[in-house]
Amino acid sequence: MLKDPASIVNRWFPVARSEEVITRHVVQTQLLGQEIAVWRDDAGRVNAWENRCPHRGVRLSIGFNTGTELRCQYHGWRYATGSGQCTFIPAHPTQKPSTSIHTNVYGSMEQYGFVWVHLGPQTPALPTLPTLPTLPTPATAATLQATTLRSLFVEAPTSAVAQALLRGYRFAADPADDAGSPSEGSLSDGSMGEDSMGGASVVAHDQFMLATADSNGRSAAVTFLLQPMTESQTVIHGIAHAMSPAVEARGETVAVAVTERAAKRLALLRHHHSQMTALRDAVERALLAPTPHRVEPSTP
Amino acid sequence: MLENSHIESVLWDDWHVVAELARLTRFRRFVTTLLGVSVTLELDPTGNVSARRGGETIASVQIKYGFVWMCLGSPTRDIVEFAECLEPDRLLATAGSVRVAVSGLRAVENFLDLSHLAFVHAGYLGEEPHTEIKQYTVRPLAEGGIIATGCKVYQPKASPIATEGYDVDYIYAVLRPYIVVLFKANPVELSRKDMIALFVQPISEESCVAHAFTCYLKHGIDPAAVRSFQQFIFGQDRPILENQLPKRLPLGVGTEVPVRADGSSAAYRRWLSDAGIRFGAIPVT
Amino acid sequence: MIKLYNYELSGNCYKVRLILDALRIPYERIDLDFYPGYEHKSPWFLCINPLGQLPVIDDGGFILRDSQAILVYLSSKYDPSGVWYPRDDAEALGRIAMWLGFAENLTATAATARLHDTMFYDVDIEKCRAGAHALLRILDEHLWFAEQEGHDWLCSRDHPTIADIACFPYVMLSEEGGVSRLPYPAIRRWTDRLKRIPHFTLMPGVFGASPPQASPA
Repeated sequence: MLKDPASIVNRWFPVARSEEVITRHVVQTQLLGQEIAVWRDDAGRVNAWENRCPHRGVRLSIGFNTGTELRCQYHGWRYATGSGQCTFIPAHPTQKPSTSIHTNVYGSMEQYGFVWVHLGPQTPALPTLPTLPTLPTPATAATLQATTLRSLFVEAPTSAVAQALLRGYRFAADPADDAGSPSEGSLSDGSMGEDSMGGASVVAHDQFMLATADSNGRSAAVTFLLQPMTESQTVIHGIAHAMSPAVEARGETVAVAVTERAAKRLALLRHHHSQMTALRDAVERALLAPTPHRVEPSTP
Repeated sequence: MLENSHIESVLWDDWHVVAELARLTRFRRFVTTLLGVSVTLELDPTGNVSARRGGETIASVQIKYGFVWMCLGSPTRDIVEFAECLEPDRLLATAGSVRVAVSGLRAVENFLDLSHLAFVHAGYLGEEPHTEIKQYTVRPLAEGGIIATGCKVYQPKASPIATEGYDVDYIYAVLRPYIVVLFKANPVELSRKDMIALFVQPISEESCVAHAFTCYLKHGIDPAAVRSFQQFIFGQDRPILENQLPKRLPLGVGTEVPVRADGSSAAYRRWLSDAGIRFGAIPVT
Repeated sequence: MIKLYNYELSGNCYKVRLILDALRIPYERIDLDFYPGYEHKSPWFLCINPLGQLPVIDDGGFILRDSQAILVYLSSKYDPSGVWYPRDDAEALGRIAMWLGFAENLTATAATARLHDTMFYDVDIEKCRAGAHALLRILDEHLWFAEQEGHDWLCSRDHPTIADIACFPYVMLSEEGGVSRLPYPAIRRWTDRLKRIPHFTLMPGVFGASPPQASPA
């Protein structure tokens, strides 16, 4: 595990979109250098365990999710959902395993469409998403839609990713603009601030919301939540917030509206995805480029 | 003799396999690494193998059992010998050399392990629900190492020529820190034993080459089938080994929990600790 | 009976074994000593395939090399349902061909990295791994957006095609070449789905899928 102050270890971090932690599957992820196996039991409960069977250290993420237990691929040892307690050792099938045998369980919960994990022993305060005071509250004929974006893996440290997002992330207020290619809204070009500043609302160096508005008066926002996988790898999790006019206001049938909404949602996902991948590619390229400064050797 | 500053003598001054002879026969020249030292092997037209580290010749090189063996230091004893290999009705065959990204000590321990056979090798060397491992005996060997006897496993297809499943008796012996051998009753001549050995070449602390060697009774055995079966079985072990964390073998108690079925692995770890093995291990602090 | 010139640990041979088992076609394996015997480069096999590569099939005298070509042939000839290779759908065939090409790229990168790591093949390993990661990134993105539109497979909604079969082995075995799938969650879900198709066959290095939930009555 990376050395980190206790304050970081005891924070909640998003590690996966909830809808991707499907049953009968084990998600493999990493937080602050620690590999984690995330899985959902058949009752819907999420588990986040150290990705290592306590018997001989085999990754639990290659094991079987039986719906109530994880079964290790090596010797078939089984561990119960929730407690992580070992419930069955096939080499000694008639014996009850010692209660001292269990996986290392991390605190986990679900909120805002993500599974969140904290590594430290004490439960930290729940995360609150940044809010932008200038984002209009929904009028009666409109709703504020929140869409979780595709999580993007970046081969770069979290600080570099955060900086790049805060300084340079651009997006349109309405990506599915019928008028043609979306015009990019103005975005605060300010640097990272401690508080909401222009179009950015920062809760932490790795959790912030950016907003934009276009000349048609449409506004939108995106919240970025960064997962520090290792010292050099980050996952960008995102939530797009957009205004969506109500069906009744536009006088369409429900069926058409559903199809339209699905198309708009996909357009929104693709728009942010294209912006995020462009940013990712730029950040990764910058890390590969040779440094412009050369340190001159000191002369004796 | 090469200069060695830090690797324990029990490894540095002992013989290790560094290549199958067949590889040199084909490629003439082969570069490999032993205990962190890069060595170049060459086969000359007269069939002699020479070994070099940089410009320096490595003196202790021998060919035995179809492998090239090397000692980086000054050998304190001979290469392991198996009496079975001298029996006239035996087929001796190398069964493939495979690189694995894990400490060679983990590879040896996996070879000793009985309770994974019904899972990793399901349908071949073991089968659910026959997963119970009954008590067996482990004792130290006078020359160093350990031996486990009285091991019994139900196997649906115990060898390339087995036609039905049966309870197989196993004997395991660890002869060197990185050398392990198993003896199992031959399906035709039940009183005699087939032998499979793993000569593990420690490349680095977290990677190795597993060189497999078989010494089967000749009855109906085809060397290609032997090699194919051994590669298949090891092909099932390798991804498990490469998914073990940490990559080095922990020798202390606490992080990994053995049960009674793990008697030989627990004895192996204790013996490594007593013998002062550090390379490829996480020693007891 | 179809003859398959085979090596158990070859991902390309596995593609053919997968389609043969999925279509329930009986076949005879002729196992070659690929390693360390390099039998696929021996004179007798070069007569059968001058490229010296596995797999090759012999279907009643009709001999075909190249795993992608073999997938096309077997699914065209032996799949009456037409789901694995929908011969009448030009767009589907185009997409499948595109992903068969992608599978070739996986062989050049991920499979080659595996040969280096396991069997000492002398190649530029960092280039192979970087190439494999670049492909897996593209594959993960494609599969993620496909999932968003309710598609479970590379080129289709409800049933895998030979495109999925072609890409599966070297994706599934990528870690044997030092290419982790941790950054590719959509790929990890897709490989699980493939393992659940009827008559799915395993090979060393491929673990079974978690037992599926029972369908509601």
